[in-house]
Amino acid sequence: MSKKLLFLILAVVVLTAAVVGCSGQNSGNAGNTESKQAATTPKASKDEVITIKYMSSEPTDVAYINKVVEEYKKINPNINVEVNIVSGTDTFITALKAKFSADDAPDFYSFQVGARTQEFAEAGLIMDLKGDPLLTNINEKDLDLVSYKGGIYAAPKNAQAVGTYLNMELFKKYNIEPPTNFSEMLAVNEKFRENGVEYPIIMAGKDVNIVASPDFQYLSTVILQEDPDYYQKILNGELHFNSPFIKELFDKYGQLREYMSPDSLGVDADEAFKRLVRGDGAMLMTGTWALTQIRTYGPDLDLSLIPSTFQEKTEDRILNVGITIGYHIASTTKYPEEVKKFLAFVLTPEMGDLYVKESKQISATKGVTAVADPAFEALLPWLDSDKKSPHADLIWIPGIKDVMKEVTQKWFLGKDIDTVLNEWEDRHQRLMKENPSFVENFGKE
Amino acid sequence: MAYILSLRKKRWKESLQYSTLTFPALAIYGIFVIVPLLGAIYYSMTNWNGLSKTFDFIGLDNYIYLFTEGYVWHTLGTTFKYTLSVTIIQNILAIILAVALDQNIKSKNVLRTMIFIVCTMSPLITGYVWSFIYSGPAMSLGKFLGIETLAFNVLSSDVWAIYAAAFASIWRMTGWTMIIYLAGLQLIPKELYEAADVDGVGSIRKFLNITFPLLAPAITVNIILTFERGLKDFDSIFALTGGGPGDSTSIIALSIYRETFFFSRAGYGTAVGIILFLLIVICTIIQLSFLRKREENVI
Repeated sequence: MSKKLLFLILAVVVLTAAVVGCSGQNSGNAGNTESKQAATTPKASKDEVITIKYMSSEPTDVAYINKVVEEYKKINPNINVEVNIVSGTDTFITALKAKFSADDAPDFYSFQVGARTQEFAEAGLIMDLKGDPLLTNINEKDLDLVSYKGGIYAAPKNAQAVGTYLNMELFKKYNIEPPTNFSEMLAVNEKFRENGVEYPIIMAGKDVNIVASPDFQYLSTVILQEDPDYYQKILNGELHFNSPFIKELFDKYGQLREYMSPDSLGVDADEAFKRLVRGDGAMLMTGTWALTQIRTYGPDLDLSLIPSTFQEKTEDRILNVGITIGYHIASTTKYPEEVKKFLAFVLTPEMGDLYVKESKQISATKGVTAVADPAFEALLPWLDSDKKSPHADLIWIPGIKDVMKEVTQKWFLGKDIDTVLNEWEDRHQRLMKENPSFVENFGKE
Repeated sequence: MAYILSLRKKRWKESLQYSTLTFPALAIYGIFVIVPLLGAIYYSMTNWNGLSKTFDFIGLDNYIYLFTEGYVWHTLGTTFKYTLSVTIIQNILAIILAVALDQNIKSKNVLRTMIFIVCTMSPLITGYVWSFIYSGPAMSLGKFLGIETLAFNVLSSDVWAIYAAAFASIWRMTGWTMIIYLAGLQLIPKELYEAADVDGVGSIRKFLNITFPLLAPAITVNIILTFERGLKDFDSIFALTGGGPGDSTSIIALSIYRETFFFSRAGYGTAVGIILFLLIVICTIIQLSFLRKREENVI
């Protein structure tokens, strides 16, 4: 009898443990209309050592933030910052959404601005920073992509430029001048061919981001210039992603494709950087974020990043550069004041200079004087002028950028242009139908 | 009569006592499998975007959309290509290896261990390792042998990339399948082989008439498990190709991931997941009924 009783008791204990262990997981469920306000926890006392969690998609942030924390601790010794790096845009957004759903969101994170900031702001997951002193060192005109329905939901961290990296050693070797417009770009490629460089343009066809780099540049430097409201018109149905103005993009891309190696589809980003450094090709279209990795393979390479050359006339040439990454504070953070104070310190010109040196990126902070790398010197005249155009895709409905990358890769594979553009348009229509609030609120301050 | 009643009561009490012992396992199964499944079915009938605190119940709209738009059917086709390749080739290879390593070879234990140990690798690591191999050594080999598909990186071919992914999976899991076949081989009575030797039967006929038919139970287990695993595979393809080039290796598990996280359509992604679950159940039932009949015929 006692054995049976023991078995029964054990069964009840295990059952209870299983139920208790799984209960209490309620705040990760959507449908919970209780709004997640920041910090019901009392402010940390001066002596209490607190750890704030930071999530970033940039591997260089580890060294940078650790140095910032070292400096910050001189005035605030009770703060620790735990850095979690999830490399890659795709994996970062997946991890971030999963963390928010599981109620394990970081205190603050850095990620793409624009539609992604709006998405999280709409869901009430990030704090409104409007009027906060931490934005003191940010230019007002840089706040467009972090604004939503009258609020400001992120502090711009960096600007990223997209263009063409030139292996200047090859250019100098064959006495070729960098191109300044599209005709010159084609002529430069022919000159390289005459000198034995059969495929002067390196393309990482396996990497959806690099294979779509010409798309990003053309959208920003040509389409956005000709019609700043092009995306509003797409949302209204006046224009479509299978309209002639998009086909022109692929016409130009197709002309450049002649100068890309036939094995490009098997080349990933790393291999592309190595080929540029080795001099297998002379040009690679990508952005400022790639420099750190390129420098890993060629720290002393004479490299230059130039603005895109999709324009027919040199005087129409414009640099595709814009605020890309911003610091977002989770509305669920237990330490909002501490995070804001830390960010205010991060966004000082001194820390901006440190960011530029460590990450080799363009800081969004006012008053930063450091230059990331000699490779960016060719961009300086544009950065100091009005001849700049922001990224045309950051305002798109979430998800369509990934579709663009996929259809571009399909076109690169050899699929018919009308088929891929129709697919792009169909999937955009589908996303619009699924996200009517995005369409309705687009362009509203 | 009273005796029969008391006997029944005693048996009922005993059944209840033994059933009680299964409660913890049932409870854990219920909490970790049934409850999430019911939750998934509910969310699949909503328009939840994966982030918002609020969403609407939309009934079967997600399912209607799924059956009317073409993209999921494309990924299903790719998934079946992948799954069938893995199931057939992996099982053939595993049987061959199992029969070979069941012979009296001195190093058979070492070889069995070496082949099996590969399946302890994480599928994600396998994907990254093979991505490196295909992008480097395999390309050099392809150039040396003059095989263009290999020379230009097989992962960049919209025709062959899915089979390259299948190969990586087969490489990883053949050892596991082989172990089950080895266990099955131990159950075949040795006397049958001795009798066959006496009758002067050759090796191939021994395999076809003794080994293969009597391996039926192991074949059933392996075919079902390999097929089911193939339908659910995600990690290795995510690491190898990410669904590319284009969407030529976009399998259904990847499309669930993208719908949920990239396109912020968690409700729809969950609906695709439910359909995958039902597909696995239906395929398993069909396979079981066919393969069990075969087992019975053999016995």
